[in-house]
Amino acid sequence: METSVKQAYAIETEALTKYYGDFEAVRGLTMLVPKGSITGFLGQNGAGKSSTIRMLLGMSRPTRGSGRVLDFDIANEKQSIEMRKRVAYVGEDKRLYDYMTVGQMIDFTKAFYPGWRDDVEKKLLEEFRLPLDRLTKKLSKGMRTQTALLLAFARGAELLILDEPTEGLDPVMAEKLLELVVGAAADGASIFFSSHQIAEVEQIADRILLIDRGQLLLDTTLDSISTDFRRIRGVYDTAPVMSALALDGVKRVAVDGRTVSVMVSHNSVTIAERMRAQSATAVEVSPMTLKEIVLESLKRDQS
Amino acid sequence: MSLSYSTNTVTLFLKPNPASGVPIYLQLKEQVRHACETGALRPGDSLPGIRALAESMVINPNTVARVYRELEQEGLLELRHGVGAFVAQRGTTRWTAARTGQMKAAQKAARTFVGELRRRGIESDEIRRLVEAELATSDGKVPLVG
Amino acid sequence: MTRALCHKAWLETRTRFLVAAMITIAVCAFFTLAHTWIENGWERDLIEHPEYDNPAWFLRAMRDYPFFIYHYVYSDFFQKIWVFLAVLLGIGGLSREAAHGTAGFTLSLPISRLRLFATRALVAVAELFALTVIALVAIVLGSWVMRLPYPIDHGLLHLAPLFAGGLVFLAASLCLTEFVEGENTPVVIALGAVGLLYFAMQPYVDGAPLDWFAVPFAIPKLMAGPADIRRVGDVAWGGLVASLAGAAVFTAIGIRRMQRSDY
Repeated sequence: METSVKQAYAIETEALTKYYGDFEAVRGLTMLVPKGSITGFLGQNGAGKSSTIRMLLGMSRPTRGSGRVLDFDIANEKQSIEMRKRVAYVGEDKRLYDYMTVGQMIDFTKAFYPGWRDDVEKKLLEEFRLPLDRLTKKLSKGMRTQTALLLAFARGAELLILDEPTEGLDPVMAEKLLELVVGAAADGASIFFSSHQIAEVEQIADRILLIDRGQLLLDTTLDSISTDFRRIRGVYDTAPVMSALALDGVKRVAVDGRTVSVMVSHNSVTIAERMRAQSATAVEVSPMTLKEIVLESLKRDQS
Repeated sequence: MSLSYSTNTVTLFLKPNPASGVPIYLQLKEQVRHACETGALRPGDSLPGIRALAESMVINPNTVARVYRELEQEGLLELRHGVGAFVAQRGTTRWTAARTGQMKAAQKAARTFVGELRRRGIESDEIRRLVEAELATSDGKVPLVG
Repeated sequence: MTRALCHKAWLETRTRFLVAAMITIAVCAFFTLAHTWIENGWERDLIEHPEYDNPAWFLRAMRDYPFFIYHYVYSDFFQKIWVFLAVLLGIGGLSREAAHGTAGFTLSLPISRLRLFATRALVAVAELFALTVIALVAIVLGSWVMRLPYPIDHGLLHLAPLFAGGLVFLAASLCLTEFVEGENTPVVIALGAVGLLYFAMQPYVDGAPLDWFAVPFAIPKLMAGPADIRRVGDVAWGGLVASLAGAAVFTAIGIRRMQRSDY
């Protein structure tokens, strides 16, 4: 499938930075999210995920750096408005206007999106059995979430930006949400969702981005995780020369007594060779799960 | 007690387990092969559409597409443009038979290999670790002797 | 889209507006319907309590019905309520939505922040205008029911400045709610500020001439207008235009703040 390079990315940022007073919430974030992919944006609470998303949507202004969403400049209000016609956002809160009924919320939202999918609206209304005449403040939390999801998925958006979408959802609802995401992806939408649930990212994402304290630690595909990421362990009689291990692909090196454990993002063969050349014995190369990679990446250096 | 009766794709394929250590696409591939081998899917049977399968298993549609593509390349499936994926007509019996033959040979080789290592006094856990390490290192490349 | 936004603003303020309308009707109608009863009470006081102080306006209010309405509705009692209602109608905006957790939803819609503010302001102004009409109708109808002669242009000439003055307070409220976070804090601050203003301005309303430093705050007097209003020319148009300019400034400040804020 051919796509011109210009339109290949759903989201691109260049050194995106955000300060809240003195606090640097997002530091020099540079990322490329291709169109048609499902990207999981992982990170702990307070890592900068929501701050990033708010900048992408024009809710807050970047302190430095730039970004484009669906090829529209995020810092330009006019372009941002054009972009938002094609984007559906669901925040962590999933709160709706207290003073509107379910039906009024739907009619209200519908007015802004010419690409509104009546079929999706109808299907979800039936499936969730939402009471059109009930005020949203009188809905149970579950139904409120369902309404928020309906409002997002019926927009016929090209890009869905979801901030912790399964937060606070029971397992059935959470799985239903993932199902809706997958369905939208099958229809051609790009999905960008932040989460601190590794399992759901592993289940549906093509790509993952890991952010910690405002900085991007990982930007890779799920495929790469299983085919290229490796843990290489070796036993050293004498302390290894660290600089010799500074090879392309080495992400983290941990030393425990005589055992040195190296996490690599690729190039495992060369690195294992180098370790053997350094007289390491019992050099073992093993695959890593996404959870192990994330936890390892998040470990703070103790030096 | 009333039995619930549903004609649902999910009963044909099980939802893959993302935490099992085996990539989702491999799990799905294996499930499709298994379904063909057991006769749950026969030559000419249609497989669920990419979207439908992705939704019912709640996995990435690209993953489903990739599995179908690779199985088509392997000769197990036939992808008819605009219609969907079908279990290949001619290929299957030959394919399964060939696979069965291969599997038998592989089982024999594994038996020999494990027996040899055990003879040398290497424990089961060690053997497992060696095999995994070897798989992880090789991935199609020439294996290193370390 | 604008229609949807206006509908939203209406639904958001509907209850407030209806309460405001009922208060307006109640207060305005009260003074018309209760006039006779109040007057009889005063007559009795004059006879039974000659020691009571009688302020200048009191004696005139007894004889002159339109002046009675002027004093109680346009100048003193109802004006204070009116201003409070105007402030009430202006409360809302993104800061409030942020407190409710819906700011994210609203801001992710494909509309400019200016349009968000403008539709909210538009609906609020329309509601204020409706209240003005309701006040007029209540007074005219109430007077007619009590068979008290009330010239309709007296009402029009006094309600126009009341509306204009109300716009200033409305604009201040629209602006304030973009600066102050939280649901109730803006209301408290607004009421506090208005209360202070009226407390300080009370002597001037009662008839004292304006000191130079009180001129910028003379809005209560402006809204009341001169007691003997006969022609359109009697209204202090200059002062009112200046007040409207003040309203425009408040609005501009509010808009600018809204456009620059992070949510």
